[in-house]
Amino acid sequence: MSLTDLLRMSIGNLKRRKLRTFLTVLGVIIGTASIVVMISLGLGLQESMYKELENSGGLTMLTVTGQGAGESMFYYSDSDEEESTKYITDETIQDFEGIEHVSLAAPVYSMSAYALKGRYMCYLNIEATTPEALAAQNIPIKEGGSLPQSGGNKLEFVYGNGIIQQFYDKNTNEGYWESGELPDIDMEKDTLFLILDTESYDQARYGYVDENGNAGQPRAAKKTLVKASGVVEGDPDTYTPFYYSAYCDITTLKSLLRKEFTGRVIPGQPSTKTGKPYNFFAYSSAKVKVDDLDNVEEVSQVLRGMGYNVQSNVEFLESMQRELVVVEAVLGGIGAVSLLVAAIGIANTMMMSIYERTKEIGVFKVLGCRLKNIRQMFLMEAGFIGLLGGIIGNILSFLLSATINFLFAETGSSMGLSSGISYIPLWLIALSIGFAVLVGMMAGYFPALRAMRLSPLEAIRNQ
Amino acid sequence: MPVENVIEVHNLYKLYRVGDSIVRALNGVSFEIHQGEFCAIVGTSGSGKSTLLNMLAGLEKPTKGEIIVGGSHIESLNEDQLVSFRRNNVGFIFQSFHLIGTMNAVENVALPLSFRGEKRSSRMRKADKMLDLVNLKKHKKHLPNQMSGGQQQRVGVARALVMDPKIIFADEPTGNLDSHTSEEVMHLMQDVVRKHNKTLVMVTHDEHLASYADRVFHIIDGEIVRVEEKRQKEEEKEQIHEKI
Ligand SMILES: Nc1ncnc2c1ncn2[C@@H]1O[C@H](COP(=O)(O)OP(=O)(O)O)[C@@H](O)[C@H]1O
Ligand SMILES: [Mg+2]
Repeated sequence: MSLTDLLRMSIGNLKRRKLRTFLTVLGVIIGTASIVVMISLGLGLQESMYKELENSGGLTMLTVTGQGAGESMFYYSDSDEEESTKYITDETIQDFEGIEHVSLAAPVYSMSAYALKGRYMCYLNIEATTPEALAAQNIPIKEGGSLPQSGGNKLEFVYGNGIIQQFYDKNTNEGYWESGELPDIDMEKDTLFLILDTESYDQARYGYVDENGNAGQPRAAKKTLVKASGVVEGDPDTYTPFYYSAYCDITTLKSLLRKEFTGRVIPGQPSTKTGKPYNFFAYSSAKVKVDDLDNVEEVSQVLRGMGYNVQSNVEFLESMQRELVVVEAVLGGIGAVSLLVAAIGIANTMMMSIYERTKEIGVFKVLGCRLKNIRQMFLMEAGFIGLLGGIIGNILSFLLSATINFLFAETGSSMGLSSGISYIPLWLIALSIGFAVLVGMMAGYFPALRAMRLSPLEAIRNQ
Repeated sequence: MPVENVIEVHNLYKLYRVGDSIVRALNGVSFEIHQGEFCAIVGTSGSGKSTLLNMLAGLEKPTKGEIIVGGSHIESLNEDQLVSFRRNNVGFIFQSFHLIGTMNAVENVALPLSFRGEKRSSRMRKADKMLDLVNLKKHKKHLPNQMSGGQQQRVGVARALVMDPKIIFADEPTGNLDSHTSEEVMHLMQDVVRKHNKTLVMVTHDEHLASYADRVFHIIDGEIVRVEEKRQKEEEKEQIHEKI
């Protein structure tokens, strides 16, 4: 029998019992949809993690740390890495730039300072780096804003979209978390006071006690006027990779620090045994951009050889992928169970269909239908149920996925999932449909064999 | 002119085990059927007629004995070979018609041709011609349940003929029809096999219907007890008529 004849016959038989076919297909639809939706959740997780990686410099950006300097609220270090004894200075940055395959090397300085506005203040986490490195971070800035200017003596910030939540009332000490109200500050337009010498400021607020226990006159902390060059795109409630920090130009910050702490050691900077500052400035870390993913390992080795600690996202990515595989397997497994149930449904339907058609199959055999053709006919029927269920199941998955993404758009973004929590790529569609067909044919295999082995005499016997 | 034997049966036995006892459905049967002959196998119910026919058509294996159809031994063929043997040599007419309920008359007739891999257009054309031949011009698009028994059996006859088989087997082809319709179908079959020089082997319990055949095998308890030559008698009759 030709393929088209077999197909016509199989489809004709499915049409004959529309309700039963529909119910069986429904099982496959549910099975396929649950597999696809489950895996799509895993993939959505993966996708948003990748996006976040991309935002934090992708896989070719290395973070190089030496001996700690500045004050950072983040401290990355693997336990198996020993503390480096070398500082990252301008000289070091130049050395880094000289390494082969390095396309950009920039110092990063992290520190904290107070920001004041009227009765509000906050503890501002400052991330300073070069304009090139700032540009390379692809910080999404709200329309109208730009990256901070470099070269002038005015310090400008790009504020993270969550910073406004960190302001609290100076007098009551109540912040957003207590009052539930955002402070009346326009981060984009308002001028803030920045206090770099937080120690002196605190002493002025809470009273100053010198080494001998006597109250005295504290040093007056300078207030620097700062403006925003821009604010990170996003609501205060929406988590972004640039949520907490304020970004500024490192040269401007350095000169401000030098002015503020003339003759003293800048907090966080190394000092000699006698408490005098060194004549170099130690950075918190350096960003090193490698020209190609293939060279990341090589450059990392060189940097490590120079006595620095290197973190790249590659290791993070690898461990993340291992975890994601497990998550996807578990989610897919849950879906697979429902497809298994659907497979039992297909097998049952095929068996019923064969009982009903015992006579017909017998007649086919008497009239000389090849055994192989009979088997194929039933396999095709089962496969077709799988195909139909697979296709409709995928359509359903798309609807479900869109609904999930719509319903959880808020929750998802605050969980840090930037691209929706369900994501269905093309290969998943193809794979799931193929799988549904395969499951259908496997479920139909034994019924088909049974049909093939039916005795033709069944047809001739009357009754 | 030497007569060609389409079917030769030697010493055929078929034993069924039913519980502890053994039923001898066929008990040593031997005969030949010639090319172009219309043979009837007549006997009471349970005499072994169907068993014999099924074995000739390769639907059942004999316990012992030889069946030679068209020169080849079919008792030694495996199932695949038997199916292909039927596909290429045998047409079958059933007592309860066994048309496919979802197919109309033409499609039913065309069905066996699709097993041979014939193109749809050519098989529909052949099926159409066959239905003309069995006088079913008006019912070509009818489904089986839209036709009378007689009409359904005509479709059955057309389906057996469309394969252009060497031999047609028919097991009680009029068993489900009233006597008038039975006569019509018998006439049709007699006509068709004579015109197209086909070999037809028919099983019936009805002596009268058997008289349409050229030769009648009488079977009792699995043994052929008598063979009647009808055609010769008819020819003799005709000769007598001519003489008168
Ligand atoms: N599959 C079978 N199992 C056991 N006995 C059978 C079977 N088929 C036929 N028989 C027996 O063989 C004998 C002949 O049956 P059958 O050829 O059907 O008779 P007929 O067609 O002449 O009425 C009967 O006694 C019947 O009971
Ligand atoms: Mg019988």
